[in-house]
Amino acid sequence: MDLAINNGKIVEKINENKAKVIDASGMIVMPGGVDIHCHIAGTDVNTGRLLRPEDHFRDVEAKTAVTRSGVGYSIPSTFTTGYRYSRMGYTTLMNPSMPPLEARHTHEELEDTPMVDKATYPLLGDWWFVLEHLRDGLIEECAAHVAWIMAATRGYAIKIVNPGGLEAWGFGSNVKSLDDTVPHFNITPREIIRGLCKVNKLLNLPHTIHVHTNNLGKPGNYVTAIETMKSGKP
Amino acid sequence: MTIVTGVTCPVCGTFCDDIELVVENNVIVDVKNACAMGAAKFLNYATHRNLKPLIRKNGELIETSLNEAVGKAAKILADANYPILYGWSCTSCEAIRVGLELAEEVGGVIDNTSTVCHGPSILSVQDVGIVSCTLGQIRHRADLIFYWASNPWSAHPRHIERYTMFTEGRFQKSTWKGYISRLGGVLSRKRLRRAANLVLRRDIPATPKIERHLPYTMFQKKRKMVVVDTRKTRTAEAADYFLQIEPNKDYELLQVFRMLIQNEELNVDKVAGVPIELLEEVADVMLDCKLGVFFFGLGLTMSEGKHRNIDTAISLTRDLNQRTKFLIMPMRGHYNVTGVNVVFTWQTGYPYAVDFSRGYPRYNPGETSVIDILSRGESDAGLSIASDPVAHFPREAVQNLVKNPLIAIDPEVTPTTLMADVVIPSSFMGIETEGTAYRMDHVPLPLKKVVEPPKTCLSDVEILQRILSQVRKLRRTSN
Repeated sequence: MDLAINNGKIVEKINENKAKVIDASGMIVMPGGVDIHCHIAGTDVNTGRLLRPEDHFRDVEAKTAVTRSGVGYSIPSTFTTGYRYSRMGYTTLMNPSMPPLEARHTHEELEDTPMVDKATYPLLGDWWFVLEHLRDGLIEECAAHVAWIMAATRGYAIKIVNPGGLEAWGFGSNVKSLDDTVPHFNITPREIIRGLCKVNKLLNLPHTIHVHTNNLGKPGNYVTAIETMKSGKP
Repeated sequence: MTIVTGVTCPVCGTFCDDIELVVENNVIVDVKNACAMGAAKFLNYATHRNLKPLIRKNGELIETSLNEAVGKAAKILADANYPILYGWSCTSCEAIRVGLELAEEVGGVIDNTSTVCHGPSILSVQDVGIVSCTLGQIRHRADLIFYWASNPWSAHPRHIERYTMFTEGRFQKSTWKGYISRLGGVLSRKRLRRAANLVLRRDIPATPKIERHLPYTMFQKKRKMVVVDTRKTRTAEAADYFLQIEPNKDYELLQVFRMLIQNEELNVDKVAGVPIELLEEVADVMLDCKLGVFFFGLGLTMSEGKHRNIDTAISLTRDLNQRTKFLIMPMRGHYNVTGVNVVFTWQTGYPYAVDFSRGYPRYNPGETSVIDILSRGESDAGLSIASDPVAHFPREAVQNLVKNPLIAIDPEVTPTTLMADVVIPSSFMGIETEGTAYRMDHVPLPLKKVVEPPKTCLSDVEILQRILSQVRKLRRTSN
């Protein structure tokens, strides 16, 4: 079977005399893969890289005429990450979770991840300005702030991790359900999720909010997951 | 005259970002908000600098063109079998990224200054992990601050003011008023004594110093600062508790704290020269705090025990987290020494001492760290950038460093540039060139360009790129 491609799009016919022919026999031809959730860059990822030299020793990639060297395995170095994703057929990667303060770091790493397109989401579920605006019912002001954050951090979507729980973790505690009050902030995880849903809609962002629920990883957390999904419905 | 605000200070790991500079005719004439170290750099940075590239001919350093210097540097690196590329803590991440590419291209060893400072801390993190945070968390939440074997009053002068005791946080009050009134008390007692001596024309002996080793009555619900050090520093004078310990006893003391917080009785009078009653009280303070933090310095990483000390300090932090919340953070020295570890790690997987001689990154501190390579006399060329190894390395290592061809990229005249064979003067990062650097808590901040560099001084990034492309040309023709 032949595929005709013109200006990056698959078309019905093309002038075969002028076209560049790529012989892909024996290979799979497919659209570029999109990994919608891969932690490949930023401070958390890099700490993981730092922690495991023994993991890098047994998986190395030497430099070639066109590629940079690097190491694997569980968290590969940036160049190796890009090359390996390309070899697997991916062209687009979504890096969720970027603390706004660490945006510059995340983008520096993404810049060193070759071959693939990338986007990343700022973490806003426990951002003090967001908590305060939502607590006071100031949705539009919150949206204005989130819009600024998106521009300042070059973000793509709103990321929420354990809403309210990260703030509580600042003093070593946590929230246990969607209706627990976040210490010192007089707001609940449910209100944070609802509020940021509205903000997302107001700003007409290209992506929904991205939620990592409360209690994730704890046995029986499916209850919280179902509740969280319900809480997003108007 | 222009006023530039929000300038980051390219001196220490505190990396203050609130500096204001007054610039007149491309010269910085006034500095606001900076500490003495920062102000001195902004006002005097251009005093002792090389403006022209230098090259050693017949034993003398003579001025040359940039092209010749770059060409010579590239030739040295391309001809070498096992060159070392060292420094990197006082330049931008952008330059470090080019440096890693250059090291990979020439198959050399790239290492940074953490090899001689917080290298042991990094080894410990790889051993036992770390629980840390950004400095903003400390500023807003911490009610117990430990400075262990570090002296921020002198080495990170604005650390206390910006992030710990003297700053007003969301959940914590500043303690500077208490400090000022205590200081006022000491001064007025001195003044009274002097006046009494004049009036009575005799020497009244100084009132005996208040013994602050056992401050049983000081218990207040406020931020507290504990200093552990071998000598009484300025930081110690501002502390609520000061534990003056015998040198090289940190490991012992940390282990004792691990026992005390688990209510183990110790059958000794003193540990590391400190009475056990005081240690028991400090252990109670640790358990009583809402959020505590250990800041530790080179006194811990470079004294007896080295990374074992940090292992224990992190383990103590972990133990404390069973009972309360506790964090730990190294007091990094240079303004971008954290950044250099971060960039090395994302590009190669390893934070320092990275060996590219096999075409891929390899890491084995003790084998691939520059001091060890130099002490064994294995390298055959060197490049020093944004650091001064000749002044700071052990003598044997320096002898082997200067025995082989040495390239120095540095804005200033240093012992290293004086001993080098090729000297390429760069512009000052964070004053004449912009870039990115990482504060000690891994927060990336922009370095600003405030004044124009001299025409003969390129940025580190540009110099390294030129050397790299020259190296590639040489290697292509030789293949």
